[in-house]
Amino acid sequence: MDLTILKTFAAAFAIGVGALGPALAIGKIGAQALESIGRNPEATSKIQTAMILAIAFAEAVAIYALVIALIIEFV
Amino acid sequence: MEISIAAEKVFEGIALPITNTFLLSFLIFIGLFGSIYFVFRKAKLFPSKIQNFFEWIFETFLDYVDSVVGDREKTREIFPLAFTLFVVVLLANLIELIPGLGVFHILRSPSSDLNFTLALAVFSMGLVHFYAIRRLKFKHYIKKYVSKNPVFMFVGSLEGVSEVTKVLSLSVRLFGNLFAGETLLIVSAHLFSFLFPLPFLLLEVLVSFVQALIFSSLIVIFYLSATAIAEH
Repeated sequence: MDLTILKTFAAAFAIGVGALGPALAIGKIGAQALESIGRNPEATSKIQTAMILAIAFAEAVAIYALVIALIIEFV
Repeated sequence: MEISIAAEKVFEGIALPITNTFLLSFLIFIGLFGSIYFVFRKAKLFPSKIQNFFEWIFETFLDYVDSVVGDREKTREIFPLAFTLFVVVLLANLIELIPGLGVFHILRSPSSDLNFTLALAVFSMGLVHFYAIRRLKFKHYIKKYVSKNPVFMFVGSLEGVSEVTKVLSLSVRLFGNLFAGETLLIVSAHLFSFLFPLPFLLLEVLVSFVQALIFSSLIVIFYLSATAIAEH
C-alpha cells in the first residue's frame, strides 16, 4: 500500500463521509422552511433569507471536508 | 492540468512574490474605483443608464440590509463595509467564469486564494469588533467575554473562541467554494470541452452570487450580535 494509493483513498473518504451530515442538515432546513412558507405565505421573503443563511452555515461544514480532501490530494 | 492550492507566482515583487490572484484583485480594485469615479463625477438628477444601474444595485442591497438590521442608524454604520464586501467578493468570484480558465495562467479568481479570503475576513471581523467597542464602550463590550462568575467566565471564553472560529469559517467557506468550483470547471473542461461543462458553469454562476451574499450578510449578522446590548 504505497503513499499515493493511501492518499487517494483518504481524500475520497474525507469528502465522502464529510458530505453526509451537511446533506441531511440542508434537507431538514429546506423541508422546515417549505413547511413554514406553506403555513404563512406572507412571510416568504423573510423565511427565504433565513433559510439561505442557514443553508450556507450547513454547507460550510461540507466545504471544510472538501478543503481537507483537496489538501490531502494536492499538498 | 496543474491545480495548486497556493496561487501561482507571476513575477518577483520587491519583498514578496506577486501572484496572479494578487494582480487580479488589484485590477478589480482599479476597475471598481475607476468606473465609480467616472460614472459619478457628473451625477445627474435624472440618471444615465450606467448611473441608474449602479444606484439600483445600491438601493436593493440597502433595502436588504435595512430589513435585516431594522434600525436605520445601525444600517448606516455597517452598510459601507457590507456593500463593499458584497461587490468586491462578487467581482472576484465572477472572474472564474471568464473563458480560458485552465489555459491562461493569469486567470485565477482572487477568492480562490486563502490569503485574500483570510485578509477580508480578519479585516471585516476586526472592523465589526471596532464598531462594537465604539458603540458599547469597552466596559460593556468586555462583559460578554470576561466575568467574575466562573460559569460566565467559561461561557465568555467560549464566546472568544467562537469569534476566532467565525473568522476562520468565513474565510474557509469562501475559499473552499471558489477553489472547488475552479477545480471542477478545469477538470470538466479537460474531460470533454463541448457542452459538458455547461451545467457546472451554471452552478458556478449561482455559487458566485450566493457566496458573495453570504459573506456580506454574515458580516451584518455578526455586527448585529456584537452590538446587541447583552442582558442577563
